[in-house]
Amino acid sequence: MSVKRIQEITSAEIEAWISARIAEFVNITAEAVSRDASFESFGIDSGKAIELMTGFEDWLELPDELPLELLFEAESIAQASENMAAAVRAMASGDQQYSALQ
Amino acid sequence: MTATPEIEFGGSASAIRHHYDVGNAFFAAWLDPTLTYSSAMWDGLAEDASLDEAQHRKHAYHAESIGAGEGMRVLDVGCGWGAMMRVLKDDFGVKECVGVTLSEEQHAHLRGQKTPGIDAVLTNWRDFKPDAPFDGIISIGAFEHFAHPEQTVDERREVYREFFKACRAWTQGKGRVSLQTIAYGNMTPEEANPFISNDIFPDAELPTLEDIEVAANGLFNIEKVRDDGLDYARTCEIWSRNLKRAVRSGVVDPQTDPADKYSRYLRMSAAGFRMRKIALLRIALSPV
Repeated sequence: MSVKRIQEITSAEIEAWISARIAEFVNITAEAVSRDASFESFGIDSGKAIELMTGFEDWLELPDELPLELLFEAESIAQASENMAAAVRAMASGDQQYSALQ
Repeated sequence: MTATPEIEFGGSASAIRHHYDVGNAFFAAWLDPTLTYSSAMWDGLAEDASLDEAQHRKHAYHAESIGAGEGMRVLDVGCGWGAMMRVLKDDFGVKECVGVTLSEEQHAHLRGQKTPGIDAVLTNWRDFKPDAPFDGIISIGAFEHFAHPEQTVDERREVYREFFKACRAWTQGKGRVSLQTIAYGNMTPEEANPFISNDIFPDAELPTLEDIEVAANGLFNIEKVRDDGLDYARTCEIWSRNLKRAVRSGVVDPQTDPADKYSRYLRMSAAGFRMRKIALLRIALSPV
């Protein structure tokens, strides 16, 4: 995905993507995944969290990895989506937190 | 199981070899050039300092912590590929370094280098019987392997106490010790976050700072404790990126190398340190 596209990604798009993946994991419809629910409530363990994050990075073709705590520390899917959108935009704009790791 | 010994030690040779003997070329693809496989240290360096600089900073910190200097004889428990010993010798004028390791590959690598003043011994620390005393001891990233999860708190502390007793014996009660180990932070074994669970250290048991305080009581004074968990998070993140790039460029083959396993482990560890579930302790000890 182009840098321009990554910069424009919204938390709503991310939330829809995460909800669809969680729905696959637990075999329910995406509509049944509440945005206010925690990852833990769907039984998302460390393995599933890494799978989710790796899939997310591949989806956006991110140039680098995102910190897993964006998932771990979020109290809800909605909050995680907002944090991930901010992190993706920071990465696209060459934020120092990411460029320092190069 | 044979008869229960008085003290059970973790860090079996097979467990250590399982983790570290997966081929030096694999580690070389994502570690720094000195193959240092423990947390670097950025304190005192420029914000954008490289991993190489931060690994050297870490080694210098431990050397200073034991007061390393000209003509000394220093023991490195869990010496890895020898980077700590080379800094002691080249930058601090230490005369003789002896490294203890359970990894056959690390041992062969060090013996093969035939560096004057640097020797490696393939043994568990509890079986190590040096032929001369040491002036100081450094141990980086070995303490995590000393105990095992089936032990009670008291049993674990007894193992650690045996280690500190051995340190006193190896230095005739006169040498300083600089210890670097991962420890439990705000996560206890009982309340492990389901995300972190046992993925990071499935076979080893981490100490708590209290375990170390109790174990060292009367043997060593704890002069200084640092929790540099964020250093380890940054180190793991750099390793993880290096590994990913090595896979992309074909240097590492995910079909034959354990790239996925390590990638997962490094990312989990980074998250654990950033969330303070686990800590990275650097402890300066002086003999009582």
